[in-house]
Amino acid sequence: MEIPYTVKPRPDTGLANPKLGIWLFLASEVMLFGGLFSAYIFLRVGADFEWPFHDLIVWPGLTNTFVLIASSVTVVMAWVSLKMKKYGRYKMYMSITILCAMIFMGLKSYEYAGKFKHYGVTLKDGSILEGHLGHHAQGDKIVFGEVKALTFSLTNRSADLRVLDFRAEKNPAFDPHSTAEGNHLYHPVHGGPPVKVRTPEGDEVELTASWLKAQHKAYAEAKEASYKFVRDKMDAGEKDVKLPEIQVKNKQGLLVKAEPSITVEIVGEPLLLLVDERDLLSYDKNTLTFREETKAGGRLVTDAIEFIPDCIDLRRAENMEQSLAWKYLGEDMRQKFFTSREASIKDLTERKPWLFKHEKIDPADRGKSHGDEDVKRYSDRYNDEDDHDWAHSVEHDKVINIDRADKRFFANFTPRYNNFYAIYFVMTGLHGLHVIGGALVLAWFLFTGRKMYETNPEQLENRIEVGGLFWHFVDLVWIFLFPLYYLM
Amino acid sequence: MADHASPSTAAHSDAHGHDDHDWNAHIKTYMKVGAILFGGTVLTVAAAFLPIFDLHHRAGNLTLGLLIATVKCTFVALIFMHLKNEKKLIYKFLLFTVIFFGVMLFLILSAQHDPIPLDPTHNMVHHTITHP
Repeated sequence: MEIPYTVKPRPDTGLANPKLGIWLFLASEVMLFGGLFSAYIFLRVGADFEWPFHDLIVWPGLTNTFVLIASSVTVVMAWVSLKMKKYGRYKMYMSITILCAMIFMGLKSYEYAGKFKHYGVTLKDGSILEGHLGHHAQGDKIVFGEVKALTFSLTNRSADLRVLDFRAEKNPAFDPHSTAEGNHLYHPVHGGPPVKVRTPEGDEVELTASWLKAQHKAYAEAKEASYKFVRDKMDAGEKDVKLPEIQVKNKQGLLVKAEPSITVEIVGEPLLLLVDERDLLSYDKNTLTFREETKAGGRLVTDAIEFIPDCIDLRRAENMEQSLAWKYLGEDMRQKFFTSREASIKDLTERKPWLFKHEKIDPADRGKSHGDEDVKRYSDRYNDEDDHDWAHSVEHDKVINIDRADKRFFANFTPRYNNFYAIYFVMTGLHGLHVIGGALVLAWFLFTGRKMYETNPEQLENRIEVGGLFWHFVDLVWIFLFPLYYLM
Repeated sequence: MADHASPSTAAHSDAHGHDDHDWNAHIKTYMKVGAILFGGTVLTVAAAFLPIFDLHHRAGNLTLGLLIATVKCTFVALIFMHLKNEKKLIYKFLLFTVIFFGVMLFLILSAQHDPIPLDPTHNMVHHTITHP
């Protein structure tokens, strides 16, 4: 069957069908991205925090803008080449277009990876420390050792052996002065050996999913039996029947009270666990309680967040002078901070602010040359009138251990960090998917176009035009995304 | 204006009748538009960093930046996407798109003027995890 009007215009619309179709599709795309742009405006206008300004590094975004513009030119050149019956040139331009798409996505991944590795800790008083996790040890994980007992809930059906996935071991080769990759004080053990436990009845069993399932089943049956007892009595006409104690048979065949949970002792080496706080319901010095109500009894080794700060943000601190940040960064840093703040305000009044940007200076001994270890960094975000009194700089690679009790919020720069990153990832992510989709279609036309070029060149021209229209739209969206996220 | 060499006949229309010379004129136009887009990008960055329009809360920079983006967008739509010489039906579609987009923007932004006062303590969820 031949699809009508792929090349010739339809008499009633005056357009070939693919052209009409792509414009209808683009109209719906305008609504899709339009909704997200409205969401951006809505979030930005209604933000209850200072909307991040120059938070994203400009050069990858700028490079990507150039790359997309270049690809827009090459895709239209590919189409013109077909019109001029120059298939070789068409192939070249289309290849460049696809190469541009790959460069774009590569840079995008580079940016995303940087965000995933960058963290922010909001302390209890509103001070914010930004930086990276310490690479010597456990980072943001809670280290819990000497685990000799595990308690599994028998009423919570989701209770499983997930606790064993958090097993870790201490690296004996740990050197606190080494920054070598993999030289962690604690690191997770994937698929560790089976764990043997002693049950309350004194049996030694291997901790397996089927064992736990059997315990769940026994408890559920015992519970059902006591309900059945009540139902039978009531069916027989008795009133006010009390639910009897839930009982199970023990090893000796005697009925004993069934506990809603089962505690087992670890046989052999106690466990060491490395846990994300988000996996826990609660914890204290001797017990971890997981979300599925499994409890581990042992000893808390450390719950400090090992952190290498590179930025202090005191805009929301209750009292800058008394900020909790100084507890970790020290008196020396505090004095430098306020000296540099004064220097920055002075600089701002004396010099043009844009010249001041990215300048690596040590305000304490301005004018001298510095080794890398005392290079200081100013935030890019001093620019706002209300903001430049919190200028900040932090020594490189100073590892601090933040007390979890001092933390209000802790996350990497992903959608959970704030609304800015939420809408940033949604919009750039969706745009990135469009780039991938568009590049795949154009690549298809590139690699399979030869036959159509020989049999029906006009149809191939139309295809390239339609694919190109989509590509230009992707470029259009980026033309707005770039200034809104990277510049303004 | 850069598009002086742009096609007088519809760029998307039938290729017959065009010789190589015509298409070379098109290529010139496309190159010029590409240059304008590159230049516009540089200007956008400059608009963000130079404090020339630095009014309250960067509103000046924002407006200027978006204005340049809109100009760039217009060039892409008119020349690269051939909207300069397009059939009436597509203009009609796009007119409706603009109207619908405006309505959507209005609806979403009208929530800014929510008459119900916000009580910050209401429904506030506190993180319950305890630290030893």
